Amino acid sequence: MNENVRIVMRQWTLAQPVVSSFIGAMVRDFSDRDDVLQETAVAVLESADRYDHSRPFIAWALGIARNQIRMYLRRDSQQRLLFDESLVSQLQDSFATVSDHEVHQLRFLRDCLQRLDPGDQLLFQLRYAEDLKPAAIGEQLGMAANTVSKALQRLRDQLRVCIDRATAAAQATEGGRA
Amino acid sequence: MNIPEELLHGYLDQTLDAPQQTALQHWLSQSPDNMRRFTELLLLHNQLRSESLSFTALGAVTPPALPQSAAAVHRNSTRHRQRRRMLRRLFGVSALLLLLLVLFDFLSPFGGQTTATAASGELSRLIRNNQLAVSRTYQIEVENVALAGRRYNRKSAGEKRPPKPPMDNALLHVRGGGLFVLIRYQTDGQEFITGCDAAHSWAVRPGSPVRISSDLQRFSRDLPGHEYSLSLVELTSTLQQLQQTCDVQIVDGGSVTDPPVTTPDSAAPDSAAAERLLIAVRRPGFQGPRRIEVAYAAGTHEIHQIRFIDMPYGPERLTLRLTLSSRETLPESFFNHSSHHSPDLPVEQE
Repeated sequence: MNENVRIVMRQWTLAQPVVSSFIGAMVRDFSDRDDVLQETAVAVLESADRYDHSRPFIAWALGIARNQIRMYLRRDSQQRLLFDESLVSQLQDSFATVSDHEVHQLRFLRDCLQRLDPGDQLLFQLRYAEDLKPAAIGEQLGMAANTVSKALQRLRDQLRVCIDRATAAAQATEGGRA
Repeated sequence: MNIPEELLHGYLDQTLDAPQQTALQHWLSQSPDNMRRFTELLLLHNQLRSESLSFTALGAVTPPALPQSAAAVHRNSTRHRQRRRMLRRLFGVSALLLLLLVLFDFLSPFGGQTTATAASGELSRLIRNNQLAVSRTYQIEVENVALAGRRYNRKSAGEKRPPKPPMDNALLHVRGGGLFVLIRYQTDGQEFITGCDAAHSWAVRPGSPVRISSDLQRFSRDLPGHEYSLSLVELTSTLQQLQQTCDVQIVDGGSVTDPPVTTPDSAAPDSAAAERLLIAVRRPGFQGPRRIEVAYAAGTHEIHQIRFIDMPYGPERLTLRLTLSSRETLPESFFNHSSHHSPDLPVEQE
């Protein structure tokens, strides 16, 4: 393995959550998103020798991901891009500015999820692991689709607050040690 | 009511109609702050998917076996009295579960499932054990073959590569330091043998000259997992790769959801000793098998079985397992090609 590939692999590990989120904004079926992400990972490694190390890695990887999304949409005529090109560019720019700190914060998500009550965990299980939409979740749980949508929104907000609190607590601990 | 928030969450859950979709696009284009809010939510959405998959694969979340009670939790969210009753019931169940967990913790050094740090430590010990100069023989079995996604199928229509020797019933002899001999049986029963003696890799194919190469991976490239640095014949590097590409946890007492691990008594005198299962679930963004399970002796960290689940292999996805069948000491010369063909067979250096 040459040194360029080694560097790019290391950077990819850090950039992957950001690139994955960017792809997920436009390829919303999770398994399709995973396919596009894998193809992006391969394209990133294959292009390792063309990466200019003076440029931010995430911005470069997002550009490759955008090409892969285009190819995916071209391959699968059933899918179409829900945003226009200008909006996609804005979104790409926004993801390019995501900091390591923001990505790092998400490590608290697991703890926050574990603190939810079992019913709420089940909702996330059905939505994210089973990739069910609110209407299908509602059918399984005997709830209205709208109620499921609102519950998911409420829970995501709750998790965001939990992550922010955990981050603040961790920073306070680190500050105390220093 | 916060309309933009509803639009953002509705977009994630794919519940927006066309006018709402247009309204969201308009709102996003109005300000970089709006786009920023969307970006933050997408990051959380993405991470929720990853965490939920890990939870599912590791069995950490209660499966949806009791949808009624879960539904009740939500239906009654505004009915405080019923909710309190539900919470009391949940509290009772939780207390019982907690008690069982505490008891299990007491009985198990890992408390059932490990933290990521402890799992990483176990993986390092497995790697160290695997580097020992001890000979081991694994029987390879293909448990399941499934066709991969549609794109793979399209590709395979144009490919005209010669068929690969089957992996099922192959025998893999390994020894620390990268030595291996892999014996595969062709459909006509003849052996197709590849190997590596640390200085050269080689291939002995029926009816052909012996081929040797100083490229140690020259004859391993057609094996499942090679393109993902998860080679069946280089278990040490495969284990190292798991540290980089997978979420890893340890479970005491063998398999969780799949068939129990079987270890031949002859091969493992300590098979009665505690066995652990390392479960590695591939992180999104990395290629290779969806999940890898490594069953090993808790005391010695010797691997008894490895299962590669949903391993992409050409147009297929394989689930295959390697089961320890022998610890018979093999001489160093066994890993040289000359031990596997008649002396009069021509040898071609590549």
